[in-house]
Amino acid sequence: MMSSPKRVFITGLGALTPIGLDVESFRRGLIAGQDGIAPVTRFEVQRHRCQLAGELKGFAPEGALDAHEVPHLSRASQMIRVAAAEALAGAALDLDTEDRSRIGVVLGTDLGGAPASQAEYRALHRPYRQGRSRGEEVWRSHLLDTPIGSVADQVAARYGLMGRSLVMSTACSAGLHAIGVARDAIRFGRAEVMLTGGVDPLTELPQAGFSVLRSLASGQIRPFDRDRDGTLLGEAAAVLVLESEEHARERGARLWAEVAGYGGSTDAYHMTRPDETGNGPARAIREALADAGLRPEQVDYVKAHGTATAANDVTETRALKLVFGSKTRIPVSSVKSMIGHTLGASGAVEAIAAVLALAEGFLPPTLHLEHADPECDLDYVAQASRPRALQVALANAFGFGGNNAAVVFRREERRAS
Amino acid sequence: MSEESRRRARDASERLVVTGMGMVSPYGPGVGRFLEAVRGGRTAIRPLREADVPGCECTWGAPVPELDLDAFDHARTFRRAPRATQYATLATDEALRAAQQNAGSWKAERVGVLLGTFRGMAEVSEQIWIKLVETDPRFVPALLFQEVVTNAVASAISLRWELRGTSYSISSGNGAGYHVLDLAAQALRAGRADLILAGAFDIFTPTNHQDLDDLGLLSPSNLCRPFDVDRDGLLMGEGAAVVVLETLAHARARGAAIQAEITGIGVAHDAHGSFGLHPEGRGLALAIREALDEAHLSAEDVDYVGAAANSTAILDRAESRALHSVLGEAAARVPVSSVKALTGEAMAASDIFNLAACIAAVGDGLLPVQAGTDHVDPQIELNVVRSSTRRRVRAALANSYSYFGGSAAAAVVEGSPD
Repeated sequence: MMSSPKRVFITGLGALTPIGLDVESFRRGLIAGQDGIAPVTRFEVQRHRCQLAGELKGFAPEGALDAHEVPHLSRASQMIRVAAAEALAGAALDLDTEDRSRIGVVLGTDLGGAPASQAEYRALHRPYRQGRSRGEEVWRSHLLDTPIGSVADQVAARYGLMGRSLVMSTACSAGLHAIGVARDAIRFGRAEVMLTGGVDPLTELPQAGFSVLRSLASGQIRPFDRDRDGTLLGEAAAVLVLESEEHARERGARLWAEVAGYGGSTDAYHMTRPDETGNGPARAIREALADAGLRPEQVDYVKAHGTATAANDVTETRALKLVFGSKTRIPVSSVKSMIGHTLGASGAVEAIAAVLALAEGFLPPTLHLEHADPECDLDYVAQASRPRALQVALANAFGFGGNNAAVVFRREERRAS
Repeated sequence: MSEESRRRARDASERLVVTGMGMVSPYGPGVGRFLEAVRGGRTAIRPLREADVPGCECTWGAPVPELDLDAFDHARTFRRAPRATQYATLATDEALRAAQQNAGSWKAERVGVLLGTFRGMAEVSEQIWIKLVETDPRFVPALLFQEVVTNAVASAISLRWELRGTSYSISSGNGAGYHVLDLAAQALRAGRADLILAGAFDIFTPTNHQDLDDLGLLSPSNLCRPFDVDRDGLLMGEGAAVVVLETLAHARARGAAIQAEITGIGVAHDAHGSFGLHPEGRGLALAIREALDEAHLSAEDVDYVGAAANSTAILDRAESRALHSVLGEAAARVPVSSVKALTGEAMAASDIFNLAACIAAVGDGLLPVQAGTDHVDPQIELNVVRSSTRRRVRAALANSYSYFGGSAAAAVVEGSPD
């Protein structure tokens, strides 16, 4: 029998971003409108057409993880483990007293622990790597960490979480689908607590691939600007601790926000380009609002997908007008303008930006937006953040293949007693 | 509770039924060809091309035979697609025919595509890496890059049948198949879709074979013999398989022929160290218990176990421990076999192959044969099916267990309620 659906709340956050290596510095960076883009240092970049990206600055996993395990973990696993540690500490969840068979992990990722560079690929795989080498423990653990699902296994193993664990890998919408799926698992009684989020380190393969697709910008990321010329990649990890309302209130947890609604749709239009009518994303947004029991006019802020590619920004604007009306003045902004496109992590780390906006009462800015595209005529919170009391925020994420996700977050006033 | 009242106690809008199946297995396209082979004990394992296994101790596996694409409808549109997309497309086509579903019979916004995989588009990413390493980042072909995302297969299926419902592509080690069933059940019961194409794919690649050989996971004797005392590693398989899932209420409303009901699904994780399986198979035990509880069945009610065992020392033993801990004394009696003995370890696709074998077993009582296992490991104590066997199967338990990472799942399959 399916029990009646439960409400699901966020009780802990963890984030590693190009503008801050924890949630507090990320929050400050969003309010200050910090630009996390810089020349690439993670791999040899001379022969790449695009040489800019949003890398983590000063990331030192040894601080948060055991020193002996760090060399055995892929960068993706290091990043997600550090973000998970922050989120669990913030949630103040005492795992020793929890039923860990009712706690699981759902993360979004596109590449997981895949090699970051040609040098890493050569070191890992034959034929470039010569000879057999069963004795090399670091090589062995890195090879075992390459499957995309490994980042979830690593978090489950570290904390002994025996509930359902998996990764979503739906390109650029993965991190937001992960939050929706983790929420549904609690909502329908399949878990009590879930660690969700996403991770993707900066790697050479998409840097090359998005270049050949002509999707990468020559300088700055300018979402919704008439002079925009593409996105830039970034790297990030994000973890959100989700709990059933009952579980969270019983232990007096801080309720950052409710994950109030979730929707998904597919364009069925093209392998990479969006259907520019905006109908696909609009269906996902409407499903999320209906799931939350909210009307469009109750939404106070839209955290856009906002890639700054020619097609996305016009399509997303059309989708928002389909849902909110052609004259809507709802504030919309693109976090990618500050941290770059963090692929499978983007849906999750940008959702954290939306949750921080709700909790702290501000609108994150769209950096570098100077001359709005005539077809993009909404309020995009250009250039600087604004203080604003918010109750409901919508987060969008759209991926290759017209794979769309939307999640609605609602601010919770009361602290549990 | 009687058999019928037990199942009728659930609302038809929450009961999950299979109305179509399709696959491309190491035997080639078609569920029928696969079933005939595994129930006759005929193996698909054979020597691999020498060029794919240079310097490897293990040189055998179970690749999908080369397909005659011209024999299929609209072959032109996917002749150049990655093999994963070709196989999943053919499997979907077969599943939809069996379910008697097509573009005229559904609301496109209400049909979802949910696929699971272990290595995703590794075949494509390996080609891109070779371009990167041996030529120049600027020479990566755009058409190759668009196929490298894990959801490229689901996107191609959505495009081909113009499906506009929600679409997930997931991974949870090499055992993602029943995680997909779990998410499909969640989505159908939450009213997010009317019909879901749920499936899995995984493709043999030379690099993966060589990596696993270097790691010592493949059988140096080129023998796949799950549960055998002399087992010494797995052999690689590959393929794709898809099932059409809907609620019993929806299937009845459209007058569909129901192939089987999935009465219980359990999903869990060993959560034991990095990359290790728990010696007692605790994640799998949790998953089996959850699946049986949801089906309201006890250990004695299980008439067949479709095992995940892949001929590796650790996984086969941990699966056996999990079966003993949940089924108790019944564990030594119930017939058990793993289709991987004949198809190799086809990773996530193996889960759906196993599901198809279990669905067929509840249909006509014929069990897959565990060929190659001569001496059952005394530490394992299971009733391994060693020759062609027919018996009444009311409920079959299908296991999924990842030798990477420790993700585990189980599904209970029962016959059509109609």
